[in-house]
Amino acid sequence: MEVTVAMLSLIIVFMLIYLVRRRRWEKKLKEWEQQLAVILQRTIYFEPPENSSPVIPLTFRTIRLLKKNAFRQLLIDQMLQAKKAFTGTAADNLVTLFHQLHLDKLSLQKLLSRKWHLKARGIQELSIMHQQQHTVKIYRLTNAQHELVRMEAQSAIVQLYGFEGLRFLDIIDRPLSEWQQIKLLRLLSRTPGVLPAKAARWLASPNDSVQVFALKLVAEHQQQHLHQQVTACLDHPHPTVRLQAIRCLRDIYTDDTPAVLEKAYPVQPISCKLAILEALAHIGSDSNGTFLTRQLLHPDNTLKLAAARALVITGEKGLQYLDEFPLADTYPLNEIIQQAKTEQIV
Amino acid sequence: MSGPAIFSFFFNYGLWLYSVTLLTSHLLIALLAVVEVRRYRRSASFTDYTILTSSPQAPGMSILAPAYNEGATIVENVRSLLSIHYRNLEVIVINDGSKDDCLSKLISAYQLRKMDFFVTQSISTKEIRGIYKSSLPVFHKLTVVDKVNGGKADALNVGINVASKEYIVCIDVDCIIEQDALLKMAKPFLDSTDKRVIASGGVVRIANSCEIRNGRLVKVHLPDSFLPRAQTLEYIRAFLLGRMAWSRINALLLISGAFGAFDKEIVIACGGYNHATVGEDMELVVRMRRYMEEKKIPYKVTYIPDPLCWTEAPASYKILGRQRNRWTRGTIETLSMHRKMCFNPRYRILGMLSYPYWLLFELMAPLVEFTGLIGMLIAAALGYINWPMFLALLGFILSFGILYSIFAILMEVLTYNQYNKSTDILRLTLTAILEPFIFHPFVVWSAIRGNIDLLRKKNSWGEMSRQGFAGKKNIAHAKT
Repeated sequence: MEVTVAMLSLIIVFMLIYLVRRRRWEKKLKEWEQQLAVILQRTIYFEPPENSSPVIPLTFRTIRLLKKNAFRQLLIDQMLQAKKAFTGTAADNLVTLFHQLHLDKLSLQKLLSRKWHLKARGIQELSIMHQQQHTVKIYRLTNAQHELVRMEAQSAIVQLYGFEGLRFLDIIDRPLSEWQQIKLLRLLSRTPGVLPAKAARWLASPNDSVQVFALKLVAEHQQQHLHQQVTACLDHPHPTVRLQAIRCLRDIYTDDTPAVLEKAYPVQPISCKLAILEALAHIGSDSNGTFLTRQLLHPDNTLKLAAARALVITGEKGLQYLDEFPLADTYPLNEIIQQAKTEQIV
Repeated sequence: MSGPAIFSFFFNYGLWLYSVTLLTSHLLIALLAVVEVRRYRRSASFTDYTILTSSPQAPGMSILAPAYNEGATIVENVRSLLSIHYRNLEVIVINDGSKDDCLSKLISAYQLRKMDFFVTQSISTKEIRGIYKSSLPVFHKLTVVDKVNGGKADALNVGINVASKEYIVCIDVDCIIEQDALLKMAKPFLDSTDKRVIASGGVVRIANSCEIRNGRLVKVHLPDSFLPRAQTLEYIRAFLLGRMAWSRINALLLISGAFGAFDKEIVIACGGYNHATVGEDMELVVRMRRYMEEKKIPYKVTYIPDPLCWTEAPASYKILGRQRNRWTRGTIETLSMHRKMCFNPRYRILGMLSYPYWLLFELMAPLVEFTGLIGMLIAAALGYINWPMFLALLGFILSFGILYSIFAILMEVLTYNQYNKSTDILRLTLTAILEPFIFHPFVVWSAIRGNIDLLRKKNSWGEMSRQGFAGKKNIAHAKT
């Protein structure tokens, strides 16, 4: 009992000390925030001289405060936020200050740390501040064992080099999570440039997740010339890749695409079948009517509904197919057809 | 040895062994929770959740909100759900045969009209009377289903049948969901590369005394009255320590019915919610896990320590007693339905650790405690008690319980710090000291009554009267 009471007292005392220190820290933070705002303002509006290398003027108080680790880290955090928000001279000035205060060395130290969260933080800081001189160190981490380090390194390389940075897709053998794919797509959507020609190679990558990501890239960047390579992905053993290939074909379709999808349909699982019917609703025509009508006999009601929707969307001929279908008046087809028609009206 | 002596030996040493195991497991839970919460928070600091708000690749989520006699607050509650930040979202409100004006209020507030809608009966349910969509494009995410009363599980199953997205988020319609809750909830499903995430839970917090405006929580306060405050402490302990620890070792058995996201395909494959239990939330998670184990598909059930959902806790002993009674019956029913898993190595950590823990330390703890009390009274009457030893042990157990609660408060202070006034922390600490003497005995007694009710085959949900965030009285799901 004495042990638990002692521990209890210890925790309460620790909590009290923590609360007091936090209160002090919050007060100090408020003071520092004003100081930080002044530094950032001066940096952002600084006009660099034309003939000499720029030096951002700093007050004596700032220089004194910069000796404190916590203040330096706060400054880095605020500079990163500002760097994301500004472009042009203001962004260049922030990078200048980053160098001037040797903050890149701090970030590099973090990058070289053995702790994953510090490593990831270092990568993030160096990439946002466009420190390309550390590319080799960051690139090596694009296939790192720790997922977060790997993700940050991949994002950093894309941030530094745009589409060219995607070259890490050639070497990674660890999977790209869906979250990471979304993140990379978002980074690339803000980057000027075009998808490199080697995207075709990624479509045949031994890493399934790279293939899925490449299919998303091809769809987003409308790479119609890769139609054949995408079609080849319909034979991939993994249904996730096939599903993405179907979605991609919907976005880069040619006149042949509906026939390709119809051909691939019979051997697919339900999820892929559904994706094909949804794709045909977008890209199909009267010529797919017979195929779609056949799907109304499938035992799975979800597929029946998707086929009915596709027929309704393809136009009058599709509606005619539905109305003339022998079982159109029987349950559940009568309700399915009615819903498909109502959705189109709404 | 004589009969009473043998009894005394087993009673004393049995209780001792039980207590040591329980206390050790609490220490391990605290340790694992620290590791997991730290990992999560470090990882979350790199995450920009807003990338999902604009991405066409964001997975589809269907919020399922069953409503029974929620007429007083339904319009506001639905408005709050529609304002959640998520792109690929549909909100399905299931009116479970309400006897009040719940449906008519929804029809008039959102200009709903009845639609031709074919529902695939993936899970068998009671009859659907109609499906309504809004004629206003601004409410295009909303679907209202009117059905014959069948209870919460049946209402959720209807929602699952109607849902068109890949993931379903089951909530209590009277809960307040944080605006970014779905962005955070979607991440675990997108993060995993080696295992399929079948379910994910979020922390539920107590909203009593908090400031709520237009269906949104604007300021957090610690509840003024003791009972909700004790539950606040209990929820911090359960969510920040318990669930995070179990989540760390992928052994979580329960995701709160108030807020949980599930992989729809797996839910349907498992047959959806079970009507035969009042603990349908726990039963579904156990069944989904069992299904994945039996199919030998690698899977994960995750938990997020961020406070994502706020609920009103019972403020009276009567209502609290009914709630705990129902939770006990739900746990017994679930464990009984899946007894095959108990110490069955085929179910790995689920059978060898999660199930036995729930059986021994969640389900049996109140029984052991109650039996211990009776035994102690008998022993005292017969003069068998070594009082100095007894008092020392009692003091140890009580101080350990308080220590665990204070540690949970410390975790809260170090992490989310929702109650940031020093007086709030002091009041929570005092609650932790008082809880073993006032709140805990009542919870134990309610659990005993739950056991008795189950033996008497009483299977009602019990009426859950709430004050409502706007101060109005309303009656929540009360189907028998």
